[in-house]
Amino acid sequence: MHILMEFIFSFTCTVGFGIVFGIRKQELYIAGIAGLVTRAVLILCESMELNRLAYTLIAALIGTFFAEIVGRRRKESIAKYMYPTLVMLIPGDILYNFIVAMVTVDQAAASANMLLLGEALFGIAVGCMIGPVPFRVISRKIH
Amino acid sequence: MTNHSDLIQIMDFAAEIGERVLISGGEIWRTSEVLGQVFHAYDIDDAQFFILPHTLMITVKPEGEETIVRHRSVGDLHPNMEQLSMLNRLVWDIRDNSIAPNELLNRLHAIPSRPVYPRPVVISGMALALSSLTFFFGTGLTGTLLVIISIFIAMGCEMYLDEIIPMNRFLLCSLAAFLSGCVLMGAFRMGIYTRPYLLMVVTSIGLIPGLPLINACRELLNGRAMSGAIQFLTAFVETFAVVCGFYLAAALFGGAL
Repeated sequence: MHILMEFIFSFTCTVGFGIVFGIRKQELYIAGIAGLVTRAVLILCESMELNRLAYTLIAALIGTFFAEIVGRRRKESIAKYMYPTLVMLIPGDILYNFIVAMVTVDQAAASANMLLLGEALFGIAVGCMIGPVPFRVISRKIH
Repeated sequence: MTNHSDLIQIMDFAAEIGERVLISGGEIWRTSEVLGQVFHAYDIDDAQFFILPHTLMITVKPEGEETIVRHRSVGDLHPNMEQLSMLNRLVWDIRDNSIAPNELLNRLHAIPSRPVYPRPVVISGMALALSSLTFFFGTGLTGTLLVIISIFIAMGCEMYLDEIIPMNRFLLCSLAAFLSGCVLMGAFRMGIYTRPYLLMVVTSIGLIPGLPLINACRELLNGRAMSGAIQFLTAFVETFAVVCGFYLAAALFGGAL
């Protein structure tokens, strides 16, 4: 039941962000599915007790795969579908906690949050960069 | 060989499309790729671009002629994936079908630059997103309702206040965070909710520039140190502004972050 709720709220969360990103209403459900896919990967990775770097990287990678497939099938910009997949992974709360720790001169919390922030950002960035590579290689071979 | 008047039209088009790609949420590398494809479609191989989040400069030096430069000061980011997608499609069209240079600006202006949704809908979208996120933070129903109220105040302030009193982005973020923080701390003081700081974290997600943060990391990994560093710094300073706003609200109501 809890997992079902997680999926529902992931869907509504990415649909909400899809509106903020200006994705037209006919395609908002794709943004929702993108969020759902990313959440499912996150849950799977967390159940395998992977660290933050590993699970954000894998989730970003799968999310980018999803965006590439949908974007290429619909002949649309990949960014349109990639941003909603990433939105569930953005470590906004960690950045906030990091700055709060800096402001309140809590060095232990600041360094812990900085490490988490670095892991999450690096994981997402690498996942996004590796994701499109197979598609570009295949595309070049075809053309 | 492109003649001078065609080149001027291509340059004007490139500057405008580059600016629109950046404003609508395109990354630096994407903007560079878009411009590269435009110039390549017209066999202009000596075009050079200098692109930063708020600056775009294009230079072409035709043989035996003076250098032509186009510079644009790019405004604040307004994510619009629909517009970004249409701009991309236009570039693909140029690449595959070579549109006449005098047609370029007309084709570009045919793409609407207005947002897909009116501002109240965008604010409601953010409220929907963040209220869904509260489930993962375990705030309960009261917390979710407070987040919805605080995000309407914060985003409303961010979107409408700038028109009434023009101010810089950092001050705007601080003010938005301060006003929503006051609501959350007020609810705490009245005994409605006991964990206002958790709600501040959730509300802050709506104000913190998340995508530029990831783009910054990607730019750095791609070797574009300057644009990556600028985006990182902007994200950090904006988050600092948000934290300052919440800090002031907490202090005003006798609490601490």
